[in-house]
Amino acid sequence: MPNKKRILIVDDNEEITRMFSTFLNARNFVTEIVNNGEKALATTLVFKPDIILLDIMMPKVNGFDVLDILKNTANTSSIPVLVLTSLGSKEDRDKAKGLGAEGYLEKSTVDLETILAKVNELLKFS
Amino acid sequence: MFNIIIILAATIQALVGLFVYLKKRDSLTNIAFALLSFASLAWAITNFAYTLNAVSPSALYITRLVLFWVVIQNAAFFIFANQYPSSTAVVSKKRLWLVLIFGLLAGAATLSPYVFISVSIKDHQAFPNPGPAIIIFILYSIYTIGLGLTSLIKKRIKASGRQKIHLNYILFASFLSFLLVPITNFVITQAFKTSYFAKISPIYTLLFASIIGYAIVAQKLFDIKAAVTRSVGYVLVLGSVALIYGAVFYVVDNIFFKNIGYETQKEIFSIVLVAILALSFQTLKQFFDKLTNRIFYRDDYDIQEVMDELGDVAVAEIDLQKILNSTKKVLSSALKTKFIEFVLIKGDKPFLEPLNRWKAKLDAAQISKHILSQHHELIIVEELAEDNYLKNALLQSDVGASLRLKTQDQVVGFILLGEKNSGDIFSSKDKDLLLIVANELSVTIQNALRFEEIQNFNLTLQYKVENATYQLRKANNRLKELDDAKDDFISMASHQLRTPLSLIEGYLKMVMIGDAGKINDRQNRFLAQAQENTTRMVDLVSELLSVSRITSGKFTIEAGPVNLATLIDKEVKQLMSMAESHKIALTFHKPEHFPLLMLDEDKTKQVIINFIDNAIYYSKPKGAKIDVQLTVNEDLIEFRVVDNGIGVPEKEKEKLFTKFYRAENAKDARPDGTGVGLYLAKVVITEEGGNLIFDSKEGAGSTFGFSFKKDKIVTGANHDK
Repeated sequence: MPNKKRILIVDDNEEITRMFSTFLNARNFVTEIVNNGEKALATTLVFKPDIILLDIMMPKVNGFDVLDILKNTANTSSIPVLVLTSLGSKEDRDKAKGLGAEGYLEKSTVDLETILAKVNELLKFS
Repeated sequence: MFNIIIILAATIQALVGLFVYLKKRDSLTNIAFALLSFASLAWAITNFAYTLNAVSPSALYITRLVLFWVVIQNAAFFIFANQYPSSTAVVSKKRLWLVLIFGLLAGAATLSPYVFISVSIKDHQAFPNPGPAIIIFILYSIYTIGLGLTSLIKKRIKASGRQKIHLNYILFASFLSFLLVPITNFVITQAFKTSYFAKISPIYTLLFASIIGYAIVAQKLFDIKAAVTRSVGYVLVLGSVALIYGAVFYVVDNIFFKNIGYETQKEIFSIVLVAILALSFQTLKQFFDKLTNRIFYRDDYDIQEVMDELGDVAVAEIDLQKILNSTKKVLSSALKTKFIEFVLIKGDKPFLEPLNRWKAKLDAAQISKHILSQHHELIIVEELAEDNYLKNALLQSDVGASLRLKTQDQVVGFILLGEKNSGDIFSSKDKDLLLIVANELSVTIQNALRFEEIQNFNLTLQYKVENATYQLRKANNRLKELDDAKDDFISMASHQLRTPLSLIEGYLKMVMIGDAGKINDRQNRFLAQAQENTTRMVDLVSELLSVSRITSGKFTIEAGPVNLATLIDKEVKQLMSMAESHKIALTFHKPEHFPLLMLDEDKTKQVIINFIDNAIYYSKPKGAKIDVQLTVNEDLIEFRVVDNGIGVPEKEKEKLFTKFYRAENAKDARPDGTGVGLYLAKVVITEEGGNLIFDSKEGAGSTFGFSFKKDKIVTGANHDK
């Protein structure tokens, strides 16, 4: 049995993170939750996730800033990032892609299974 | 020569006297003036005779006669001075008798040997030696001249306008004659024992005649200007004819008929010359008439010309202000008044334009009422009764006349004319002119007033339209604000609903797939119901979110390869249970092979769900069926959802695809619909480059769908997923 994959969930909504975590834990992933942008980077360095689920709209340090730092830090730049946001415009999508996000899903149109499929897809390539 | 001039002057004065008398024979003033003039003539002739016969034995009698005429003159002056300018007797009878008796006494005295006893001759000059009765003559002269001058001065102080000017001239002439004459003729003669200055005394007569004459011509004294003008013209004509005749006859007689014996020819020539002159008389007369008119009537005007000018104004102008200004100009140049103001009735109120002259002094409305209540359309202020409110009010503002402007049906207003610059009163010609122009002017001004009214009406109308437009714009802005508020609400609500829905959906899913332990079939069925409706709610929120994004300009199509056949099949299967619960036969025959198309999968899916969902909800209770069709034609890929439901009413078809619009029968069938599904379908399909398919008949069913051209097919990929 291979090592359990580690997922870092970054979202300011605790209920959402708890549900994601519950769902993913049941599918053999190890998850860590961070509810703000400031802690995301430090936790990444310590937790060493295989993939990061990242919300954009967060107070103070938003997802774009976190993404920017992650992709510009040597130890974290190779970790795939799946942006999970309620922002749906092409501009936001392009901005996230431009900063190096590997995936982009709109919260409004996806369900848990879609997220799972996307996570597995990204982990396959990493 | 000197004497001849004096005689001429006296003759002119006598002629003037004659004209004055003829002008108004029953006026005491005129009679007195005539008397004064004739006495002056008589005096001048006697005085002339005296200077010729100074050394002859008759000198004594002539001297006495000179003084006699002076007595007559003084009496005439006294009466004239007291009488002027009244026609009827104003001098009291008592005083008149006193003067007459005194005069008779003085007259008799002058002819008696007691005034001048004798004449002594020295150095070829005659010196009358005064006697004791001379004192009567002196007293008489002082009495008459003194009282006469006092009376004139008193009148001069009270007088105004033209009267004042006339009195100035009369006083000036009188002072010259009646103060200087006695000095040179009597005082100096007696004091210095020389009669030399008596010779120049007639110059005063000449001055008197000239001054009075000038006053007649320039200031219309005695109103005999016309008669004088005609006479001067006539004298000039006769003079020239006589001169020409004389000159020609003299020349011809001397050159051609020098030798005797041409009597017959001479006579023929005379006749011919007379004939020529007779024929040329009219031409000459016209010439001199023009000449004298130009000299004497520089201020005159031609009524016809004034009428023509006013006619031009009426034809050329329609603007009220311009008409008033032009009319002022024309009337001013003809009548030469100090000012001309128009008072027009606008609405029911008199309106002065401009008001400045009146503002300070008078109540315009009051004046207007008085003027308009007068019987005459032309009011000459001078002719109004004394102590009349209107007269006093108008005089205060230097108004000389007022002319009412009235058309057949209404009073337009009136003109206020200032006093004439010359101080003269309005002549009968002026009055004629004003009465003649009143009619045409009234019509012209009324037309201009109406034009102005129409213009004002247009302005009001324009204002009203602008105001209405403004109100509409305001209402429109308010509606826009409301619309924005609604959009904001939708955006907020859809975002806020999104998270709890995701949580419900997620946990339901986890329970159903056994993350929370095994569940039995019954539990699973219940949960499936919950999940189905949660999905519906998620879809609904997604729709609202899309609408909100369209509104805020954040709506985008993310195209990728999509297998439409698979997608539709999946959605039909998902909706099958719902269709069955509605007892609807839902059919879809999935094509074996179908190309991949470049579409936004999520949004296209929403459109497909929406069409099928609608078909289910708007079906009829019995025998309902829905056929989902997907076809590939020669050049089009077409998707259709065909039902036999309630259909869309004809009049609502046009608005069916607009935001939040719902057909009436749809509202009845499903009160909780949002009215965004079809709107969103139209936006999505159009953004993807396709066309909507829509056909419906109320009560028979509808077809909703879309079509894409084949260029949407992803090349090199032609297989099922």
